[in-house]
Amino acid sequence: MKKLTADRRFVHSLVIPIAIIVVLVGFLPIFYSFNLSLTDFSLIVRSSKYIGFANYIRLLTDPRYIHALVFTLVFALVATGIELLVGFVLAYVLADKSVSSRYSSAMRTLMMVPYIVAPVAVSYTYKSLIYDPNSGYLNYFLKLFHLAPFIIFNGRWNAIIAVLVMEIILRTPFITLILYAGISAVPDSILEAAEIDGAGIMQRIFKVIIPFISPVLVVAFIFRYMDAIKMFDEIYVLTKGGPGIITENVSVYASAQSFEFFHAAYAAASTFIFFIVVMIIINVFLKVGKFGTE
Amino acid sequence: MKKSILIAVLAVTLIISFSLVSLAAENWGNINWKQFAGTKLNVIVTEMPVSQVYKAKLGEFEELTGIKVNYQLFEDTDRRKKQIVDFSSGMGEFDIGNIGHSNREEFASYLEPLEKYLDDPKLTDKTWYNFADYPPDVIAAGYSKAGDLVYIPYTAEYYLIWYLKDVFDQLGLKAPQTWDEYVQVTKALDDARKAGKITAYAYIDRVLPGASEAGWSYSCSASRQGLILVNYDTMTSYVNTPKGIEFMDWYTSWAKNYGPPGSSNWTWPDIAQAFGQSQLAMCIGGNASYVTIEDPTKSKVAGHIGYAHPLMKDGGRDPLWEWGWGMNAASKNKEAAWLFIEWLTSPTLMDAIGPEYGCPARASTYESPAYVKAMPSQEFIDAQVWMMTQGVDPRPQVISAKWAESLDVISKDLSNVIAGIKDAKKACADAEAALEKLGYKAAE
Repeated sequence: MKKLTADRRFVHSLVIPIAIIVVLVGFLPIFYSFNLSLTDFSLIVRSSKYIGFANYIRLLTDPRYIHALVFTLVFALVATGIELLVGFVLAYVLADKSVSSRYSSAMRTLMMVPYIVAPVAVSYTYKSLIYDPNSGYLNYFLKLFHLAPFIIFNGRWNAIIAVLVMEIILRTPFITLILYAGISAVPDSILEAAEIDGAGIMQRIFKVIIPFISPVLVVAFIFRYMDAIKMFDEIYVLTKGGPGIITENVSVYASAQSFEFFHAAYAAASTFIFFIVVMIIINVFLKVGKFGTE
Repeated sequence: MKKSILIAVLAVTLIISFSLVSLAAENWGNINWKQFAGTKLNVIVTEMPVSQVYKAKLGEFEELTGIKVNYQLFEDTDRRKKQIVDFSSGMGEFDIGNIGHSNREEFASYLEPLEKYLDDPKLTDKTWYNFADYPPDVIAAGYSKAGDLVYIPYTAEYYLIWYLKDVFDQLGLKAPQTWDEYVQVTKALDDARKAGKITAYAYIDRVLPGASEAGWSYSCSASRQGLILVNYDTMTSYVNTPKGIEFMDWYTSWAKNYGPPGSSNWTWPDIAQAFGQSQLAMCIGGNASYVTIEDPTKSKVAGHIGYAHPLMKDGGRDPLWEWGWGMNAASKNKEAAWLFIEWLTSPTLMDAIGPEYGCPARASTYESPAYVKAMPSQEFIDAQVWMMTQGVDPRPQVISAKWAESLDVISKDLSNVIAGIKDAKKACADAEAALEKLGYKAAE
């Protein structure tokens, strides 16, 4: 009994400092931000007062915010969906037993290069060395084939496509690695049995591999989706949310409201609405993916 | 004999030493610079060439005063965020910071009024400090709308036309002196590029959305053409007036017709770099940037750049831009902080470092032989002096705590025109509708 108490004390002594830090740097700022969101606090006005949920009501009728919210959720969904698809194909190929393990290992290492570089640096690289019509590689090759140059601020879609392509190239390796681990864990015996039973490649993928790695797929999707909805650097560097507000997501919107226009309370409210919407969506994903229910 | 020589040498040495000491005291005015020795000051500064020039001199201040300076440099957006958070919180982490002219009203209520320090003989030798040396328009910008002197300027920055002399010589063109010439020269440059005579594009201005990007450039350009986009005193928008629409059409047409394709997401450094690589024959750029574009290690066109003042029409003037030193009202070391601001903006220091950054705020520096010698050309100095005396509006409408949000809104729709999503008329109507949601009313 005495030993158990000592063990418990030891465990508590390890956990309590972390718990205090989590409360101080995690929960307290959240409560503070929520409190802030109920005021008209601005960094450039000395006084502030409680205004209840007025900021929330204003945000929900602000077309710029609604656009940013919808763009964030849809863009992240599309980006994550494509990354999952491409990542799965790459992972399947790399995990294939007929592919040399040396080649697979080298490819996995190479694929990590864009992922481990800071997004802001990659964004500048894309802006100046790939998309730039005068000095970028993309337009150099387009010109070689007598095609029209790709200009980011041209029409409604170019800026979105530019950010999307960069995001996919940058982030797919993360999905590939996770799915590679999942696919590699599928027992050979099951795959061989399916093959003997006459299952083709598509049937093996859809009837064996995907059901087997579905928890991994759900985790990869949720991790990636949560990361994609927080995207900031790429948009800030490449388009600053333009043209107009077409590529402005919630992060860029909240950053401008808070640190360019100094509407700190309004910005706090915008992130809280976003937080609630994201929580609902993630819950739906978890339920749809039946993750943790069986 | 030997003894008398020794005494003579000693006497001469003492006389020289005393002369040097008195000369040093004279150079730095008649106050006790050591009165706050041992104090430590925290200073927040934008990372830019002039900040590095100051940084190299900090040791001299520390030696003169015994005050230790913790001089922290940040990228400008980060500097502004950190500074407003600290100043508004009343924490007083930073005693002093640089204040950009357009941000003055954002900070004004958190800045210590400086007149009382200026008038205190214990802290300021007014004869030596020579406050009157500041041109009226330049120092006027340091006063808040409430009438307090909230910062002391150290740069006076104006837009200048930069052009490639070689290209102009090749085509037989001269720097434009009137608005009509400006239009003709730009067209001639564009025609020459299309005919394959030159490779550089004719002209560029910023169109990337954002208050500090296209927003600022657009409002300055409008001001040059005598158009106020937004009156912040009456909260009136002129964006969707016939002149406002005409201006939107002009600005975006020039960007689309004369700028390099794809330059619509270029920031100011991107433009300066393109000019430095001779991709542009002419552009509007700040005078402070000459340090970069005239640096042969960074610019292919260094030594081959011509300068002219921007052209105005319809009684327009350019909004002045300047950097000033302001004191945090929550500082716990205000008098020591004033000594630092006094030193930073003193005629002695500005004379010494003006030649290194090119756009000092004091008038006397422009006459100093060292300054004249260090500048790229007399044409550069003449263009600056023209702007300083005739070209700028020291109290432009754009200097308001609300400028960033309103110009951000306008710049967003401007970029829609550039991308071909809207025409100028629709963009102006939409921008004004967005401004109305922010509490502005449309001009009648």
